[in-house]
Amino acid sequence: MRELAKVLPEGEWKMLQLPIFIQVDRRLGRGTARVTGKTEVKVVSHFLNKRGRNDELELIIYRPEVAVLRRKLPTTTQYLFLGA
Amino acid sequence: MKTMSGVAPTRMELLRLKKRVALARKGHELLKEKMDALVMEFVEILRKIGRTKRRAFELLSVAHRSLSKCLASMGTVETEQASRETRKELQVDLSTRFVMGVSVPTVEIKSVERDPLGRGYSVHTTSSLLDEASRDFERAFEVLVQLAELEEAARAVGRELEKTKRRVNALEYILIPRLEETIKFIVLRLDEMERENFVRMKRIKLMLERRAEEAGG
Repeated sequence: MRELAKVLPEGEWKMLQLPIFIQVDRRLGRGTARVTGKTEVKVVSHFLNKRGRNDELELIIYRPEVAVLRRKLPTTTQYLFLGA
Repeated sequence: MKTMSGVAPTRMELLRLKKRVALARKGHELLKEKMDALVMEFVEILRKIGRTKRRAFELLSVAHRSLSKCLASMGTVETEQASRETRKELQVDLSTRFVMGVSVPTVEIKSVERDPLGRGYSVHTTSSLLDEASRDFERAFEVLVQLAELEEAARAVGRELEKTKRRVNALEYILIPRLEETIKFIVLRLDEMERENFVRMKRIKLMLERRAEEAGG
């Protein structure tokens, strides 16, 4: 939580919805996941060192990145399996 | 003709089975994704176990060195006597957290390291080496508790991984092929029925034509 607080300015703390869902959608293909939400994308981009993606509403990440994200944010991220 | 027991070769059944195959395929893909995620979690836990084990060995070796010094200085009998006097209770908070839907125990210890007066043995009759040895063992104990927690988490995630793998295999090698085989059978049977019907209609037409010829001639 302290790490997250450092990433975001205080004004955006309330906008961050926790846990951050790592959406595993079968339509995206195996090993691909999605993170949605402007603040959530900002946080995930920071932890994955993805530059220039701060204003996006959606971020596609791949298996090695999911592993890194889970390692860095084990309790504030959660898998969400989408089957539709 | 090939037969399949308990299957009605109808179009309704065919549609129903096609829906079931689609659902099974969807479930199979999702379970595979779940399996991948579980493998990642499992590997991460194993990595943590490796790190914690190394740290525990380091701390235990330091603690044993301190204990050897203490035994050499105070003597075995006195050290054992002091260990019997030591307070052995430790307050831990046991709770559970969820890793990929798997319940994993969490052990939280308030503070393992105690001050010499809080340990229970007499500080007047013992050496400061005993304090050092106790402190080193307490430090090692904290890491050992973490290790136990991680090992239990690995066991729980491993069990779930095994269960998921079994489900994936059951869908991949048993259910889906069986449903596809049944669909194939129904399609073949329906085609055959259509051909039989066509031949029957032709024969009826021929009979009707012959009857008409006989009536006319």
